[in-house]
Amino acid sequence: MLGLKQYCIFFSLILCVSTSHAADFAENLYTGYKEVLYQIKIIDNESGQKSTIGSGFIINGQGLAVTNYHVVSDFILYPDKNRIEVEDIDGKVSQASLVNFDVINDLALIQIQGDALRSKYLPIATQLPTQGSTIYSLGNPHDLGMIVVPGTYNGLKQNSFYQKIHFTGSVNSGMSGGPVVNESGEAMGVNVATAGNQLGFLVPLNKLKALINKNKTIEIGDYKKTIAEQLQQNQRQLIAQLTAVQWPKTPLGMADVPDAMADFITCWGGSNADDKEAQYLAVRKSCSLDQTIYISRRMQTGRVAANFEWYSSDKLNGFRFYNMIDKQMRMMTYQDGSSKEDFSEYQCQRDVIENVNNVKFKSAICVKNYKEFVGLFDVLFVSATLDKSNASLVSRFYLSGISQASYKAFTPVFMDAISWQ
Amino acid sequence: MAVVIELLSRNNQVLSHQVLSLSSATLGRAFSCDKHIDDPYVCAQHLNISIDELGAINIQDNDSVNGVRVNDKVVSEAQVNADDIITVGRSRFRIFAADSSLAPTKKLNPMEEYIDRFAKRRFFFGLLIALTILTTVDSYFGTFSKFEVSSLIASIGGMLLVVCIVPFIFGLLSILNKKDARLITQFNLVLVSLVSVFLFSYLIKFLLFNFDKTNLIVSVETLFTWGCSIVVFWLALYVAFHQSNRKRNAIVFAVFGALACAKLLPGFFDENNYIENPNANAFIISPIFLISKPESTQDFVSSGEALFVKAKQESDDL
Repeated sequence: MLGLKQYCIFFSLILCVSTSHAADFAENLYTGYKEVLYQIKIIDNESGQKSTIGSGFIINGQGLAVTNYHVVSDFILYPDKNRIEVEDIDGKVSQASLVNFDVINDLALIQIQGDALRSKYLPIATQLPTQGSTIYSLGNPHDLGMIVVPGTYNGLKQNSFYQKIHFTGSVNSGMSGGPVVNESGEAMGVNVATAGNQLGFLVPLNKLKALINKNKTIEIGDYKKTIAEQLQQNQRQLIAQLTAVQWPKTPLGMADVPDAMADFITCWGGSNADDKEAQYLAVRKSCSLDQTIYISRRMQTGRVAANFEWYSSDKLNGFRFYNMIDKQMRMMTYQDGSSKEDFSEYQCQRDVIENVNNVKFKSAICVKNYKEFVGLFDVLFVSATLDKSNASLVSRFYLSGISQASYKAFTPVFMDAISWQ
Repeated sequence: MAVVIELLSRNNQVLSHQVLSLSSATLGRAFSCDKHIDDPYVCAQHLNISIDELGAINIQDNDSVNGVRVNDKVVSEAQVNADDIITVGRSRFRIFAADSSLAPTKKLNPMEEYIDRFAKRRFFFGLLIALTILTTVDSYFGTFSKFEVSSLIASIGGMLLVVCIVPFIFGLLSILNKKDARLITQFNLVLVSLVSVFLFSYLIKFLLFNFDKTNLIVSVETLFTWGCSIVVFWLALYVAFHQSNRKRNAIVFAVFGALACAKLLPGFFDENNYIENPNANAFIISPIFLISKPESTQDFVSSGEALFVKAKQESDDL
């Protein structure tokens, strides 16, 4: 029969062993894996200055390495103005070429040139670890040499369209592109940028394996075409999932509006009901996809956002009330990228509509074209109901990087989802 | 035989006028002259004037210090008529026979009559009240925050100040040109144009709410505002100055041409003329004013497809 004292000693011994095991393992990571880790730099050919730095890791004996798309995006978008350079843990610099990339999941494969290639490389895991197990994020942030950030694997992010992995370590931006290894020392994910303290996301295993298995090198002239194809396919899936099932309804003021349109859309709301000085009541509800797709420093895309605002007033007469509605409608919400080089100007049209639920509204719809990515557009819709003299529902949606077919599928569903209670 | 001597201003307006029933006369600074000129650059007995039997007028320089000019040419003697400008010192004259033929009588322009009718005080007060009411209505319905009487008074005051500027300037210029200021007329012109532009803007709002011909409607509004301004400016000039139509048209053209250039030229030279924000403005006003028939969802979505074509074309052009 073991007494309490014995249990305590036994338990603390186990604890010591396991923590020292973890410490040993972390130490092993430093010694064993620093050779597979590289610092990736994009160098501007003219000035010789680096424009981006990040991390990457070798996955086979021939110098094939993984990093993030956004670490090498300057090269992908302007391949004639930039080059990719890598630096190993000993400071040796080599050139690298781009093999393939996945802009949706922020991954890229590069081929490191050079004769003295390492025999050491990081194997890819065959499956994700069990929930709660320790995982280690490796990277080369800010020229500080290699660092290891341990964290806990919490499973795939619930309700995420892009299926990123939850990670509780703090991943900072220099570690982007570095590997996440499991307790067996295999890569099961890739670090992606930073999402604040102690809550990071990582690109999971299956996306990495899918890219590697494509086993294809993209021609330099086809980079933009490839980005466009990947975006097209992604938005097709996204919009198809959004329009597949009937949207749930929720009341807002005197109207019924769509609630979260899919489980990967999150909504939140607010109102000004506690403002005593207010001339009108405003109740707001915003729904959006949790992430956007990074294309370049000045362009994001893939946004799905919908806003509903209920306004009513007994202090304003009908004329003044609709004046206020007009001003509210003009407030812009999102602008994911806007420059003459990347986009056309917005083309708009306006009309008075009556939807299938006999809700009358005045609407405006605006479209702009992506110059570099064929067949992709940003669509902005805004409308206000006209049925009541002192109350109105203002609805908006903003979809960036969609095709004309997606517009045709999504817009009528949105417009016909609004009804009076 | 009578001689008429007219003293002229720099731009040939008649300042004073004297008829002498003499066959010969003197003109100079001396008080004993038949025509006394109070100009220090004129000699005591500067000029001799004589009429011969045929009625022709001759002038003769009397050895003066600064000489005599006829139509800006220095002469010692000359024959002059009503078309010649005689400069003596810093004074300008016309000298002609009293029985010279006069210009034919001008027929009164019917416009003169309308303008006269327009220059009534009751119009002035009526228009002023109308403009005040419109400003009040606009400032009340144009805002939706708490209605402050002080800000209304401020905007009415500001409006009145702006209304006063143009009429006072024109009136002043009129007086300087020895004409009546005709302030009431000038005010009425400005007030009528402001009231019209105000009322027209409400019509535009109504059209923009109901119909999707935004570019066309906005162009009509611009045209109307400019047209109104041009007409009022032209009439203000007409009332203020005696000018030939050609001269007046030239002034109006120059002023508005310059304004138009100032507005349009920067647009031509601005190569970076790229409008980032969408003009998603849906022009909403109270649904009481809704007269157009609503479209169905499907029709709206279908007609929206044209925007994709336009956006692509526009980016191909840029």
